[in-house]
Amino acid sequence: MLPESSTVDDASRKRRIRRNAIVLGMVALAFYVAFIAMAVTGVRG
Amino acid sequence: MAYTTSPAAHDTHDHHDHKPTGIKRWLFATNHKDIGTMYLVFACIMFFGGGIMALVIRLELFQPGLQFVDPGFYNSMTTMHALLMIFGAVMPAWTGFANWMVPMQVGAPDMALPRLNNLSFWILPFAFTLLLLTLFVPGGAPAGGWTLYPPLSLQAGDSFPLTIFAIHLMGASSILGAINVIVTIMNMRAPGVGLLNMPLFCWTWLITAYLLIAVMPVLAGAVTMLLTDHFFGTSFFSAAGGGDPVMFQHIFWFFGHPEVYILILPAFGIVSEIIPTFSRKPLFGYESMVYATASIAFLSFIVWAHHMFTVGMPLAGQLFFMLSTMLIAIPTGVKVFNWCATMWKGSISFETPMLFALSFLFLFTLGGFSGLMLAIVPADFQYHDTYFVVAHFHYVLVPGAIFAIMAGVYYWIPKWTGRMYDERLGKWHFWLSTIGVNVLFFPQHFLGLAGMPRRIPDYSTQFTDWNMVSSVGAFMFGFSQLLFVYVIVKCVTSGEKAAERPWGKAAHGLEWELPTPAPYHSWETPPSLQVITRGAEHSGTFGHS
Amino acid sequence: MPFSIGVLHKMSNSFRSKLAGLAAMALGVSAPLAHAGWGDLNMTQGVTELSREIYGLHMIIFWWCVAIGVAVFGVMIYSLINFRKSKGAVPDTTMLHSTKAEIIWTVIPVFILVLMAIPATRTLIKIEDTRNTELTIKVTGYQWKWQYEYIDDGYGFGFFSSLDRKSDAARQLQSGIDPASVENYLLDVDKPLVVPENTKVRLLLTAQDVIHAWWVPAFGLKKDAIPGFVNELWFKVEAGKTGTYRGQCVELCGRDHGFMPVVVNVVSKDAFKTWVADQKALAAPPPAENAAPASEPTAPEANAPAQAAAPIAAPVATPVAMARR
Repeated sequence: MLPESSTVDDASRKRRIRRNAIVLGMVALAFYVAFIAMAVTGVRG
Repeated sequence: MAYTTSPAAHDTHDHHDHKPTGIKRWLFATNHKDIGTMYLVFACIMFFGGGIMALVIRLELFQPGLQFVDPGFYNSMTTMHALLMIFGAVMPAWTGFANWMVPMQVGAPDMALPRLNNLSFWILPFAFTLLLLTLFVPGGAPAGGWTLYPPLSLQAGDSFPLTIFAIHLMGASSILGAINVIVTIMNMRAPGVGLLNMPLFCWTWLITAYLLIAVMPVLAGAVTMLLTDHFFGTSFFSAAGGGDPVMFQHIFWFFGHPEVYILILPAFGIVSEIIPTFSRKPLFGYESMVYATASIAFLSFIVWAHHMFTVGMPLAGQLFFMLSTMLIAIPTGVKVFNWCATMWKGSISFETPMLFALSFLFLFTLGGFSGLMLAIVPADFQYHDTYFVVAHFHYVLVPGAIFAIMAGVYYWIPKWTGRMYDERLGKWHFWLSTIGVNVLFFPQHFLGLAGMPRRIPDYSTQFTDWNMVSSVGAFMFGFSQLLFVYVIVKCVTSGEKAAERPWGKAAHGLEWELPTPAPYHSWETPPSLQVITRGAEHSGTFGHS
Repeated sequence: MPFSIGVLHKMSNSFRSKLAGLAAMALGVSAPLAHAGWGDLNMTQGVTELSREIYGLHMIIFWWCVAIGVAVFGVMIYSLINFRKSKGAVPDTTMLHSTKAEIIWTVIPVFILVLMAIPATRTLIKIEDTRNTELTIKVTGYQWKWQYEYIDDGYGFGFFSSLDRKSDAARQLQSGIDPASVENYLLDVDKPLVVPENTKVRLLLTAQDVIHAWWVPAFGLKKDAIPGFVNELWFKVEAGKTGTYRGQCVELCGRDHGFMPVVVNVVSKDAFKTWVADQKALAAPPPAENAAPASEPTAPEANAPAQAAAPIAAPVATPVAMARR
């Protein structure tokens, strides 16, 4: 997809993209778990 | 043309323009434009699906008495209309725009995660098949309102697990789409494209994506708990088992209010592109627009309980949510004033995208006024759950979000397809829609103030007259959307060839620096600094990077 | 909105007949247009101090919105007229931002919001003040009717209140009954709540099955009735404002959500005493079952219209008038 030039840049960018995506996914998961946990422990909103 | 310097490189790279053909091109699509197109077509289908449901509602409400549908089915219609329009029409339409425009506007060849992109789209048809299947199961489609308040939503029949699963799928799709937008904007900007010289559409979508990641999981959590309450004997929301039905409302609206901005922030972005173009003047106060958007997003997390002032909150809570809600008027006002200042001393012309953007500006502001009225808690005790609220949120969502979507389609379709839409028919579509939408929704203010509750299939006879007017407007608005489809189909199949710069030099943003129609892979060679500078003129912030 | 009422009244007749024709054409039924709805454009002022204050707040914020709207839309329209390309307007592309303007259009709205927040807060504090109430009634929402229980010492009776028979017959799918022929269509019950005028009445709201909400527009307030929870709401109808006030359930509560009206008869204090005595007699251990209680044997001035409108009310009242305690 990306031009063949600057392969070193590309590899590090791909790594960064993957890392960012995983972090964001984890954030989403954390919100999901946190709100259920909050309801389980009975914290009133 | 003078603007085709960099795309000349494409001639030597034409193997990149190779695209799979037939059904495989769409099933295994990883190209941002193909996926964007699928999102937009999907949104359009859902818009008509939800629209048909709205017309069933307005048909039944044309006059008092029950003429056409059973009250239970009527409730299913209001519930499904909302779910389809919010999750099926507006949100996928925005993701479609993000797919098409973000890579083009930040100087990238494609989205950062193309295969994830494919997944996030293809979840949607399955999700909505499940949701629509509920129309045919015993007990009928969900009828407890899109807000799914327990205990009522737990009374649903066989539709219940299907609805919950469909909502989980929609949420997953939105989250994956949002992740893709964020990593694309953060990592795929061409060298020299700074955050503060991206077009405002990228900014509003970036902020929207963060909202999505924060709140879609909250909705998922809420419906998961509904599911366990229904099937596994928990009692999160059942008072009899020690739970709290009001807690669901708090959780739901913690999702629900940011959701409102998820539906409208990208509209702010599109309007911020269109008004400068057709005023032939850079956007006024670009940076304050970015900060206003961010403030609105932040405030959206601390105003949720204004949707539920009548549940019986402590005085301090009511005051807090009233004041925080009123605060939202300030950044929203900044945006409206900036748009006004953009037009001031401009050189304005009235092509269809601009007409829709202007209609947005007037009517969204009107919806904002009724929103301000609704923030006043004592007055809200009268407005709450009446047609006044229905009028309010339809004003911000139909001439708000939907008109911005249409403005965006008219604005960018020459760049997408290389063909021009029929300007005369576009104007017809605009006037029919704008008149229709006002005939449809303005009388609902009167109905609400006169005391007509929302979500009722039948009403007492003093509400007859304005309901008739409203229904007439609904059919007018609904049928004029067929014209929209005709204009688009005509443009794609037989439209005149669009000029290289269809809106002239005043249209800024990197997307206009690409040839028309835009190449299959957007920026295979990153744009040169010269091109970037020209593209960023909209912001008037050349020094920033 | 009041400024447009006159105009609308003038146009209403011809417009309405056109609409009636349209309705008849489109649906093949007679259009029920017995009630004039064109004039119902604004919130009711109501009959309590709170409802009047709320109406006042509503009008203040409305006029603020009108004022801001005139200014903002005025600027927009001025721009659209004077800065048109077709008129040869030349864009001023150097106009990019202005800190001064940004400060002005941030500070002025803050000022307006503060001006609005002060009276709103004052009224809200008054609304939340449930001290010194003189009569307490427990209101329970059911799918799909209301139960009213007078729980103060010396009362001890209660009853259900559901949609009256005439409306219920007319509201069936394709009933063939013209809703316009039913007086107070969907806004009439078999047995209304009765309260005295000039008395601070406290409602304790809860629900049996799903969430409902109790609302009488003329009293100014609505509140949710939530299963497992008790919410408070008070109103005090001004002296001399006796009569029948109508509202509806305003929280979606299932299939027949649209068909559980709230009707309150406000009567003089004396009439209320008589009515209470009658209700207590009814609730007392069975003196004679077939006493066929008229639904409201109270002051004639308060409920005469309702009675006249619903001659079948009496037999209906019998089965549901049984006291809960």
